[in-house]
Amino acid sequence: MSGLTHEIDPREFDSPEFQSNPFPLYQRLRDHHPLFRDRFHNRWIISRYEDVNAAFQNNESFDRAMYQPDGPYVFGSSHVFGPNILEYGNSDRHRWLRNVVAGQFVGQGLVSFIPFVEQIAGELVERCSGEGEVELVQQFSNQFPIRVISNILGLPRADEEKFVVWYQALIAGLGFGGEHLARGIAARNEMWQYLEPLVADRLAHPKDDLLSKLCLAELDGVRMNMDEVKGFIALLLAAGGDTTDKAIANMWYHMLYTRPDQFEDVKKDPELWDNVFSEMMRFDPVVHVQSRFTTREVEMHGRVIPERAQVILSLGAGNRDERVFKNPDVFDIHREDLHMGRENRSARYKSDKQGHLGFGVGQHFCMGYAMARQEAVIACTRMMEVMKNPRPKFATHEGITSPNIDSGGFRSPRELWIQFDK
Amino acid sequence: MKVVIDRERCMMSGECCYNHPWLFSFGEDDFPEVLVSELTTEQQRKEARQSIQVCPSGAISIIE
Repeated sequence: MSGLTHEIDPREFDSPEFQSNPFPLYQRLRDHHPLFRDRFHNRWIISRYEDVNAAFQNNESFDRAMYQPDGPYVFGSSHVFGPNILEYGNSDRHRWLRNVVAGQFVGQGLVSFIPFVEQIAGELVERCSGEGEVELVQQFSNQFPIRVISNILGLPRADEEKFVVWYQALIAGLGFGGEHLARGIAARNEMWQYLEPLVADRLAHPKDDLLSKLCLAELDGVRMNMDEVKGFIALLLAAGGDTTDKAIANMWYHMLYTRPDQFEDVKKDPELWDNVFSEMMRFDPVVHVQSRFTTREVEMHGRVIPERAQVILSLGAGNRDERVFKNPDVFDIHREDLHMGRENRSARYKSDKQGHLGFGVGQHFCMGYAMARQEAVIACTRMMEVMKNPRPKFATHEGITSPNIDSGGFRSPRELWIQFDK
Repeated sequence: MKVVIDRERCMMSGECCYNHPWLFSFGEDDFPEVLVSELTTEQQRKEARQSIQVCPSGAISIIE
């Protein structure tokens, strides 16, 4: 190899090697190109923990959405979701929309819903525990969070199966594009038709559910219009379903294949599932990148990012930064340098430990962070109660993959077969 | 009516500061500070109650 081995060809980001194992390239980014100008994809990439964390917290310079000087926000997923909360960037409207639902997913709103989460987890575990083996992705994790979120919304339980199907099509559409995208949009249209009478019903007869809250919330006396309500619901299904779904599969993958030794600790003390969740969110979270647009020139590492440039915040790379975490490439649920409990939106902790960047930080910090953790931990705990002595069905596994992590395809195992004693 | 923060319970999540920036901001020691000493309008009281809801550590309360 020549002396130019640290050079990065932007096409590496589109390679199958990167999709399956992005971490060596992340290391080259962090060490040699902490601010990488990717001319091929017309974007900038930052990858060190401190830089990613700082950018997340710098709303004055980095906006979630691209604002055209003469027009509306542009956001990539609108073609599937319709108008939604993410499109409103750092505005007051974004904050207002977020507050409409935030209370549902943390604090007392969350506590009051936990018995129901337990119930749904119990039903699903029961359903797939009869055979002595389970394919976790299809039979469990793909179904669990979507059932929870559709119940939080207050959609009829009898129609849960419909939502599972629509949801799977929507997610495939976002991840894979092409014919999947066409099916995703068809599913969205079906779902929207289905939702219209429900929205009308909640407007006329509000109930104590999230759908009613969405319909009735007012900003300066104005409610969300029908398209916004529907877009919001589509977003909740995708953001609240897909990520948690894949997080559960990632947790099991790492216990079964990466650290079977530490899995023994978890079997003895199921409360350690909380640590598995935290370390998974650091080591290889479902979402690896967030995109921002500069609102002004930003100076970094001796260079200047121009205004209105796309900047990729590579949190997957930041989480493996050896400047922050010791032996970052080791999955360790007993890690002493990572904050293990519930995440903070501020990324500040009383213990002075560092948190993972898996939920983002700051203004656009994942709203469902507490819900996701609760769901994942409850699901894993329930599974282990019923499925005794869980073990991998196959000795080897292709590992965690992604259709395209670079464009937001999420990372998770395609399949995960688990055997257990009946 | 005013908002108070229990610093013992506070876990510095930042939820209050991000959701209601007119009412809370990060202090120099990273704990939130209350910016408005007296809640005078119904809208202010409503948002203050929302901030109690989203505080993950239950550190915020309203006193007469």
